[in-house]
Amino acid sequence: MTNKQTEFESQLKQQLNESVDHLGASNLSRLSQARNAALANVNKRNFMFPIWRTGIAASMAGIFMIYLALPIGMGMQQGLDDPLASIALFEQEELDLYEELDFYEWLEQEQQHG
Amino acid sequence: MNEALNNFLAQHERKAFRMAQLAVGNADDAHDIVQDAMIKLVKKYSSRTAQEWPPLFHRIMQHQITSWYRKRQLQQRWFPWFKHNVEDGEDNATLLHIHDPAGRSPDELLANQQAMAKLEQAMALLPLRQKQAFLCRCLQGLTTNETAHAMACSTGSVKTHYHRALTTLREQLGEVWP
Repeated sequence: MTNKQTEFESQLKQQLNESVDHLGASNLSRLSQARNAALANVNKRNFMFPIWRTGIAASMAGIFMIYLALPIGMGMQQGLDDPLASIALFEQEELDLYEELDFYEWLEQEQQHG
Repeated sequence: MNEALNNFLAQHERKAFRMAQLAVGNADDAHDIVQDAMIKLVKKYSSRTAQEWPPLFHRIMQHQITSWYRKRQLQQRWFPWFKHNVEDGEDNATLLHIHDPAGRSPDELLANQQAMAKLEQAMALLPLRQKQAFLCRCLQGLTTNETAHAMACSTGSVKTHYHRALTTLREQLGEVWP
C-alpha cells in the first residue's frame, strides 16, 4: 500500500470516528433505551421454551391421536379387548374330544373287525 | 454480570449504530439492528466470558446487516410499491448547532459535514460485502482476521473486498481527500 493510500485511509478513519462522536442526543438516548431493553433479557433467557420444540411436541401428539383413530389401531384394540376368548374356544374343543373318546375307540374297533 | 454487559454494550453501541447507519442508509433501521444484536448477545452469549463478547457482537451485527439487505431485496421484489425509510438528515443538521470540542469554526464544521455526506454517498454505491469490510476495518478498527470472523469469510476475501472498497472510494472522493 502506498503512502497516499495509507494517508487516504487514515483520513477516512478520522472522518468516521468524528461522526461517531457527533451522533446527536436523540440517537444516544435511543441507544441507551435499546441497551436497557437488551439487559432486561438477561434473566429471561433460562425460562424461554423454543417455539420449534413446542411445534414438534404438538405434531407428535397429533400423529399419535391420528394413529389411535385409524382402523388399524381400532382393530388392534378390538383384538386386545378379550385376549382369553381364543384360548377358551380352543379349550372347549379339547373337552369335546375327551368326552367322545369312547366313541372314537369303538369306531376304530369296528373298522378293524369289519 | 449485568454491569459487565452494560459496560461492554455502552462501549460498543455508538460505533455499532454508526456502522449500521452507514450500511443501511437510515437511522431507524440502524437502531433496530443494534437493538436486535444487543438482545441476541444478551440472550445467547451473556454466560460467555467478557473476552468473547467483542467478536461475537461484531459477528451478530454483520449477520443482522446482511439479513436486513435480504429482507429489503425480498420487499423490493414482491412489494415494489413499499417505500423504504430515507434519512432525513436531521441529525446531521444538529451538527452545526453543537459546540465543537476541537474548536473549529462553523465553516470548518460545514466542510466536515459536506465531506461526510460525500463519503456516505460514495459508500452507498459499494456492494454490501465491500461496505462491510470497509466499515469493520476503518470504523470498528478490526484486524483482517477479526473482520474475517465477523463476516464469516476468509482473510483473503476480506483483503480483496477492503482493497476494492478503498480503490472505489478514492476514485469517488479524490476531490475531498486528494
